[in-house]
Amino acid sequence: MTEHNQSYGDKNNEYAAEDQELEQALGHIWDIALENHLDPFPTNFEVAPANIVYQIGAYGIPGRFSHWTYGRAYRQMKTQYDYGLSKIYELVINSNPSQAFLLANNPPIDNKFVMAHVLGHTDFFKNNVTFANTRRDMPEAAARNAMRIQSYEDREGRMAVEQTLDAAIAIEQHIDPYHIHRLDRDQELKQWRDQAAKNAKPVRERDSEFDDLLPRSVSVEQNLGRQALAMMIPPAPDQDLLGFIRNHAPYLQDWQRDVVDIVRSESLYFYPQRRTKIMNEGWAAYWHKRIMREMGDRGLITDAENEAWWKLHSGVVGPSPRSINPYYLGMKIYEYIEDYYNGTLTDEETVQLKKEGIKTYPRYEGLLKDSPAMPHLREAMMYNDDQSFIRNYFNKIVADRTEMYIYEERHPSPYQQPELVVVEDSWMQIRDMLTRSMDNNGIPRIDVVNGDHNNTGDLYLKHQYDGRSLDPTYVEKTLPYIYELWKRNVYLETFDSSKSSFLVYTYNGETVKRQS
Amino acid sequence: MKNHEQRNVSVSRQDWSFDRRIERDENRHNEKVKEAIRDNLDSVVSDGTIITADPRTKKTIKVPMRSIELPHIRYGEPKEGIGTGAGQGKPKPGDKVGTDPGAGDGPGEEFYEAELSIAEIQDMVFADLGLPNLRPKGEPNIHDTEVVFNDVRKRRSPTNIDLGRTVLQNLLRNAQETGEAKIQRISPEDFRVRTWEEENRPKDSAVVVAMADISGSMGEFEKYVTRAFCWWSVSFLRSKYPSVEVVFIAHDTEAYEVTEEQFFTRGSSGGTKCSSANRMALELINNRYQTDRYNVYPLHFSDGDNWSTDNPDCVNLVKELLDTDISQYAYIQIGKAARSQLLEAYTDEIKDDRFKGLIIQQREDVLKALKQVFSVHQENTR
Repeated sequence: MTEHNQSYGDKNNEYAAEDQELEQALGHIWDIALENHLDPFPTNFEVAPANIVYQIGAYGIPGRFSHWTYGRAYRQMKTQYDYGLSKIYELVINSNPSQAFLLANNPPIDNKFVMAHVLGHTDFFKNNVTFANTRRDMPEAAARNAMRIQSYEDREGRMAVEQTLDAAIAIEQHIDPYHIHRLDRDQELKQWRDQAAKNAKPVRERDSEFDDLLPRSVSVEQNLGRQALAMMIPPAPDQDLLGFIRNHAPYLQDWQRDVVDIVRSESLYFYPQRRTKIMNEGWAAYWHKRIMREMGDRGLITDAENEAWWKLHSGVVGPSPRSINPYYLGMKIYEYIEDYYNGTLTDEETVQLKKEGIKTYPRYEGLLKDSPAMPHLREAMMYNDDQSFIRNYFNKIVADRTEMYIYEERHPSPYQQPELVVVEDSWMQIRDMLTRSMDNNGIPRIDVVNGDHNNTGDLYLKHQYDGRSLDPTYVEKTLPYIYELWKRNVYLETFDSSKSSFLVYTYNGETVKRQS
Repeated sequence: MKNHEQRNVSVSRQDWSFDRRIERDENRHNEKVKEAIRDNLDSVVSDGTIITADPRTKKTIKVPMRSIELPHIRYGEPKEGIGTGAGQGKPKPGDKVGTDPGAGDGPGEEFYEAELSIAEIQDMVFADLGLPNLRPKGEPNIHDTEVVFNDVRKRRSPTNIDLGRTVLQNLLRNAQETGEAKIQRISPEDFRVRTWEEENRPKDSAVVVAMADISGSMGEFEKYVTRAFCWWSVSFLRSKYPSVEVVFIAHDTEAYEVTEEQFFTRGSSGGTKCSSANRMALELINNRYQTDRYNVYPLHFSDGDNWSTDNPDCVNLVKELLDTDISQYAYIQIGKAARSQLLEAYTDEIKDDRFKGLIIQQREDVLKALKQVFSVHQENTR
């Protein structure tokens, strides 16, 4: 055994020089970040082999519970990596302290670049308002969740647990980000009942002058109780489908409720990350560029390294003709904010703003950290999510700088492949399309409107139609998973724009029916 | 220099070499991929890469399939999106920014290629196949012996040395003796040698008579399906019934016994007389493969485009073949036609459950036809 330890010790020495180089660079990067008012969580960087980094990337949190979809994610990422198609630039976990991973076979300069990028993320995690309510102890919580799921597997069998997990994961997006701490079933019912009682009209003690001749059979309390019994469950449309199922699904066993709860809590944890993709990646890209430039200016990296990170940078923020690169768009918006407040817009841009009667600022020549733009940059980063960020800061200048356009699919003839044709390049249309696509994170909003439909315990769901129709195939495939948890008929009401009529899907455990 | 504690950042490494967590989830996903392929075997079976491969190949093929995913409720909108100019100037309305390769497959459906060995696919297909009406024939005492390496012992001929186990043994011994797990001083006591047993298997003497129409009317599709069907038949028989013989007959108006290679590659021309092949099969049975010694399985592939005057002969010959006590006769009609006069003549006049008349109209029908011809349910039922 001593022999073995010795050899592992040797292996460590092999990396000692490289680790020392990385640590030294990290010290400088941290200092530059703090000088520039970044306020990151304490961050540990772990150098790990590619397959481990991809494994953690597939799970999203180290030590998370086991499920085959993570196996698929791993396979897809690993294949792309093996074929050199794409590689993970950075992997950082939102927790305090934050945990980030570096690829062991990256050249040191790549990892220095990634470290500068990651500090942008950990600053964002700590300070952006969308993240205010996320669990900062998620790695520990996820590991405990994984242990409980493992124990259910041991007791109930792997397939039974997989079946419940599949069902919960199929609807994992249907949560309410503003309703994180949901009461348990009994407390919730009590709260609803109390609320119903408060809202109920006081019962008049006497209806007529002859009332006192009749026995007072119905007391005030009983009357209130009756009204409470008649209340709707849920009393108001409830977006938290997973939470509603956890509390009110009539036939779930306790372990299944726990499984649903685990999926719900982990989905809530990831919600802010889905909600701030452009802002978060943009912030990290904006800062890795400035920190690394400073590293070069101070002579803390070699000329060759300087060239290497610029190349990496242009790869990361490369625009893409058929999708939005969040790194690129986000960085460009922060750069616009900087230029606007520091008066460093181009002459044409300044003229344009003046023409529209928008205030412009005098040219600032000093360092970024002391610049008038700095408080505005941090404010923009802290108090927005992607949707408000675009609404507040995306304008003609940003649209022109990023050369954005809207395209759509056109079918020239049945024998040809569909073409993607540019249809629009007006910045307002682009802004509106962007913000609209972010409604409810791009997920159709489904509300529980009745947990006791037809008084038979059926579940009635309603899609909040916003002009976009649901994909019928996917509705038909998903309903059985909801049934798996509810175990009673499941209804989903939506609107069919092609026929301009309401449409109700029903699944009764065997077949999906559609009724107009 | 400030100390790193104050800076709240650190770099670390740990030994991950024992972390195999993802393997379980990867394996479960692979299982699900295989389940999906099993459900979708009929399109895999007629894949061109498979049916041109050597049946004993270790080759793998890539099966394109829909990504296995959990469904989510999602929007089903016509495709539109936002792009950004790539530096060569911003495209103007009307400019093309590309074509959509995944057209017609619904929004965002992911495809990827699952890699499977041909052997794995064979196992899936063969699981549902058997030789119908197979009976023990010939001398009851004749058995096949097969050599199966199924044991490892310490002393035997060193020609069959099992290197892996030997090295492992040496490692173990060194660890016990010196406390160091090193490979050194391999001595005879480390040797592990594979040894065998002779297994007796009853000999199922069977012969498949594959007959194919190579007349001018047999087009690319018909030839392709014939090839696919025969490839699967032959590889199935060779793997499960090693003693099965296969004879190949090609015919237009006349029949020829050909080699396997010629059978698949021979050019075609001329008219069609299906009776010629049946007649030759009958001769073979009388002269070479008597049914008291062999289970005989004639398979006839044709597009059904036969000279109508020849149909009565065909029917009579199949009746004669059945009278010789063959195990089964399968007529497989390939092509878009739903019926043909030949198939009608067969089904009208032959009332024997050993006769099977099938139609393959598209590639995806090959598996279904294989299951009907090599029906596992009829195995040993007579």
